[in-house]
Parts: sequence; C-alpha cells; structure tokens
Amino acid sequence: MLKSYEYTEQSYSGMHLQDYLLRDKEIDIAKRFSEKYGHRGTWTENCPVCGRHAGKYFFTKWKVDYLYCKECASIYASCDHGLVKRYQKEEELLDLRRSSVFQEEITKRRMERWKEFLEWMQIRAFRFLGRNKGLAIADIGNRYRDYVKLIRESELCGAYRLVDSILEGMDGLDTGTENMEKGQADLVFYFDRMQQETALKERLSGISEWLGKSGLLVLETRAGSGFDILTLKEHNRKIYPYEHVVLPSVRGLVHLLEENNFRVLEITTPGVMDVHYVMEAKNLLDDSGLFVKFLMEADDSVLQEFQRFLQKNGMSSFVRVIAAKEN
Amino acid sequence: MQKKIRTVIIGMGRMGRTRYEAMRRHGGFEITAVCDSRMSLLERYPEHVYTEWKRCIDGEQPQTVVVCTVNAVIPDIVCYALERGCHVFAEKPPGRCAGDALRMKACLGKNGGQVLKFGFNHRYHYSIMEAKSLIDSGFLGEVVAARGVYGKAADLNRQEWRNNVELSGGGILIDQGIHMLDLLRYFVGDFTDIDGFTDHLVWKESVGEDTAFATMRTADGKVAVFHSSAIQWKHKFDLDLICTNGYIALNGLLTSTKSYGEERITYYKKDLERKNGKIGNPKEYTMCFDQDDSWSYEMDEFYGALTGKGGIKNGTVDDAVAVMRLIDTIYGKKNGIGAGVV
Repeated sequence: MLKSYEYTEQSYSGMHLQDYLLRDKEIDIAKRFSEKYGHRGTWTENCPVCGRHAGKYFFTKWKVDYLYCKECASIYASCDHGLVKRYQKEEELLDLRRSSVFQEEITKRRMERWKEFLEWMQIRAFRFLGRNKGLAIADIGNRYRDYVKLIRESELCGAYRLVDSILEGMDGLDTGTENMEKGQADLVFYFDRMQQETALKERLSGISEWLGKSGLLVLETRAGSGFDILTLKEHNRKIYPYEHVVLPSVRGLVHLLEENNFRVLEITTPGVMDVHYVMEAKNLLDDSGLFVKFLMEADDSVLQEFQRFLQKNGMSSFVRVIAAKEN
Repeated sequence: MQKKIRTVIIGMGRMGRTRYEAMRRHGGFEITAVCDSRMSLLERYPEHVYTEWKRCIDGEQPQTVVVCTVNAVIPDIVCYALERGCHVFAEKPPGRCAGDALRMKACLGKNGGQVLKFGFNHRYHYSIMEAKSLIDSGFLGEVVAARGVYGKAADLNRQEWRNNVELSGGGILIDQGIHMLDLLRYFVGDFTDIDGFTDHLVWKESVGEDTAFATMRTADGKVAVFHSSAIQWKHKFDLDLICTNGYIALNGLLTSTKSYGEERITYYKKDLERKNGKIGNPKEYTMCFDQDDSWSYEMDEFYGALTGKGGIKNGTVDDAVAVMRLIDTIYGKKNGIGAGVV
C-alpha cells in the first residue's frame, strides 16, 4: 500500500467553513432531536469499523454515549440505528439544508476549497487511471448544490450521477440520473457521509457496484483518531449525535476497506481545522488537557506548524482515501 | 495460477540478495539456483548453488538469468545468456562503457524474442512515479530545465570492487551518478550537447573519481545540470524540475538504510496573480512516502514482459546505451554522445 501524507503550507487559522448562525441552527436541531429521542445505549455493539469487540466508554453527548474501540481506535455512538435514520429524515433539518440561504452561504465559504479539490483530483486521477478528463462520476450523498454543479461542469467529469442525496428532486438541479449506470463509474465520490452510516459494509458493497473495473473510490470523512476529536470529546462543537455516529480511525478505515475488497492506494489526513476547533473550545478542557491548553497559548506560527505536523503524520481528524476495487 | 518462470541469479552480493527477496515476494519466479564466486555467500540458500556462472546457466537451463555481478562481467554474462535463449534482467550499470551496452544491444538484436531489462530502480520510487505522472498529466506544463544532485559519503581508499576501476569502470559517476543521469533523461529528454568532467577533489590518490559535473542540453533546448559526489559527506538526493507552469522538487529517497532522508515530492503551480497573497509564494503541495516498493514494481514490470502482459518501459537496452553514452562523454571517452553507433 502506498501511504502518503500531504500537507499544505497555507495558514487556515482565520477560515470558517460554515456561517456560525447556520451552523448553530443545524446543531440546535440535532440537539433537540437527541434530547427528545436519545437513549443510553447498551455499550454492547461491536465496533462498526473493525467489528472485533465492543468498545470502551469514551464520552456522552446529549444523552448519547460514544465508545472507543480498543482494537482499531475508532469512535462510535452506542445508539439505536432507527433513530439515526429518523434523524436523517428530520424535515426541519432537510428544509434548512436545502434552503437557498444555507446553500449560498456554503458556496461562498467553500467554493475555493472545492475548486482546489477538483484540481487535486485531476492529478490523482491521472496518477492512478492514466486519464483525467471526461470521467464517469457517481457522487454519493453530496448535499451542496453548487458543488454538484461544479463537479458536473468540470473537465474531470464526463458522465455524472448523484446518489442518495438530499438534493435529489431539487428544482433546477440536474442530478444526471439518465447518463450513467452501475458498474460504469471511474470515480465514486463519498464525502462526509460515512460518519452517519449505520451499515458500513452494505454501503461499501453499494459503492463497489457503482465502480467500473479500474474505478476509484474517493472517500472523505471525519477520523476518530484526529487531534480535535480525541482532545475535545463531548466539547467538540463539530461532533454530535446523530450527525456523527461513526468516526473511524485511520487504521480502522484501512482495515474496513481491505475487509470489503478495496485496495487502499493512499490515505492522507490533509485537514486544516483541528487546531482551530481546539482553540475555540480550549476553556472547556479540564486539567487533564493542560498540555493542550499550554500549546494553545502559542503564537500562530507554532500552531500552524503543529497543524502541519498533524496533517503529515495522519493525526488530523479529516481523512481522505483513494482506494481501488479489488477485482 | 501465476506462471512460474525458472530463474537463476548470478552474483549474490547485496544486489543479488535484494533481487532474490523481490522475486520471492513476487511469487512468479521459481529460483532454481544461485551463483557467486564466493561460496560463503551461498550457504544460506536452499536452491542449487554454483561458483561458476557458465556452469550455472548451462546446468540449470533457466528461462531467465538475473545478473547482479560486478560491472566488468555483466556484458559477458548477459550475452552468454541471450545467446542461449534466456531472458535477462541485469543490474546497472550496463557494463563499464557505452561499447559494453552496445554489445549487449547487438546481442539482443541477433537473438530476437527475448526480454532484456536493466535495473534502474529509481524510476519506481514513489516520488519519481508521482513526478512523472504530474509531468505527463500536463498540469505543470513542460519540463524545460532540471538540476540533479546525488551524493554520498564514500571512502574511496577502502578495499572493495567499486574502488577498482578495472572491475567497476569508474568512480562515483558510474556507480551512483548513473541513476541521476537516467532520471534526468527520463524527465528532460535525450541530451545532445554535453559539457562535463570528473575530478578527484578530495580522494587525490584514488583511481575512481569522487566528483562529476555536467551541463547538458537537448536538441530542443532543454537544459539539465548534474552533480554526482562521493564527497557530500552525507547522503543526499535532490532533483528539481522546472516546468513552464510550475515546479517539482524531489528531496530525499527511501532506501533500506534510510540515510537519504524522508522521500518527498513538493510541487506548485506558478502564481503570478498572487492568489496566495504574495508573489513568489505559490501554494505548495508536498507528499511524503514511508515505503520503498521500487524493487517489487521493477520485478512486476519484468514479469509482465516475460508473460506477454506488457513491454519493458524502464531500463530498456536503449536506456542503457543512452545513459552509458552520457557517462562516456563526461569521462571524455570515445563512445560518447555524437560518436555514432559502434
């Protein structure tokens, strides 16, 4: 397996990927949902990532317990999967995420990152497929209208299909349902959805069905082995039930993919926000986090260097994988 | 089930052992015998053992011969094996001069149908493969210039075959610099105009040089600067590729000793619009690698060629001739660039 680490020189300390008001609205909906329906789990579920053992108690947030897998270091919620599915269909949340104001705010803040990603993707597609234009792309769960448009209109994309997305049926959005079938995808994009999966094996098997013979899975998710997640636990504003029920570790993710007939070509943690998230919540840390508190007092250049260290060494909580289907 | 290729390895020093392990890992080679003039190196192997290479080839009648001997005898073994219908994988350098490489090429031509590959494993390092893919994708435009530095800390007075020019053909240039020259050709193209020399800057008494420099230009005006050094006093690998729309830097190289540092590739696109804030400060991307699978990839390609699943793309006999001509030119020998076919 090629294991490469990629990092960038740029500082992201002043960057916000989402408008605070809209983010707080999303969090508020999730919190009300959890407090209304949440129940304490039994802690008996095997780790959904490696499947080996039941995890150890890690923290509780909004009445939902999160467990830590001693085998693969993934984190997951001990919860009722029916509730996760119910949360995903919560009308108030869907209406907010589909709203013009939400979509426009996201576009404003993320367009440059999306463009950067597509440029990077052209390089990686050429590296592993030997071509990077006019590819067939299945895009699983994308919930950003302008990201869909950007992908569709990019040189990278020839045929496109949006799958399992809250955007399906949205007025004026061409989701490409006509021009690609299963087994034809050169690329399957699976971004930020793994953290909500209740049946990882089934999802990966579904992805396999979309992929053509030499096709590539490009996966992005929050990693439970990342700095901000392990440091902040329940104080992490970005991690909450039932939005995040499984946070695979880097090691766990490799195991999961290999167990499900994927060959990992590269796995990187190019995240840029870990330090920023910890900085935002540093006052909530208890005395066991004294070193981190001390670190957060450092000046911007030190923190940037630390973020770079996390990126380079697979310790950021944003993980990106390119994997090929084993034939 | 994978087809097994009956193989013998001639020369069981460090490279022979490396190739042996790579072929075992691959699984497609049935190593029937190993050969070395030093019996002490053969005791650990369960295969048939020989101390004379001709007897090994004649006795085993292999499909493939892997040649990992000192430079001086590589051409003789390669030609002998080709003449007996064997496929051959031979270590670099392909002999001691361009004449040796041309002799092997002529032999391959006479005995058509066989596969001949030379071991230029650097082309299969991850950073090199990434750089090649970046260039071939057109993302950074065309390579117009390159700077390559490959250096180590060598004791040229030590008693070993590398320091015996009769056996090796030269000093640091033919031993290590050859890899960098091969990479410069790989990325920039065939050089037609070369200005280079070798020198003994520190090891005044040694026969082989401790330093080689060259500036080289292709017919279409691309330029490369080359420095090979046995007196770097620290292991060093740096290759800069300047492209019409960006830049690639390769620094460090993963080897078994890890002494060349972390293997990294950094690239950036030119940013004259100052998207990243300031001019001269484009956004960089760096990839670091933690594994060297070059030996395995090299064997994969060789096996693919043996089983009809692909041709030899790297380390062809033409690559061998071209790089040896560069070396002859830098040494000031007669078979260098522009000397015509010998």
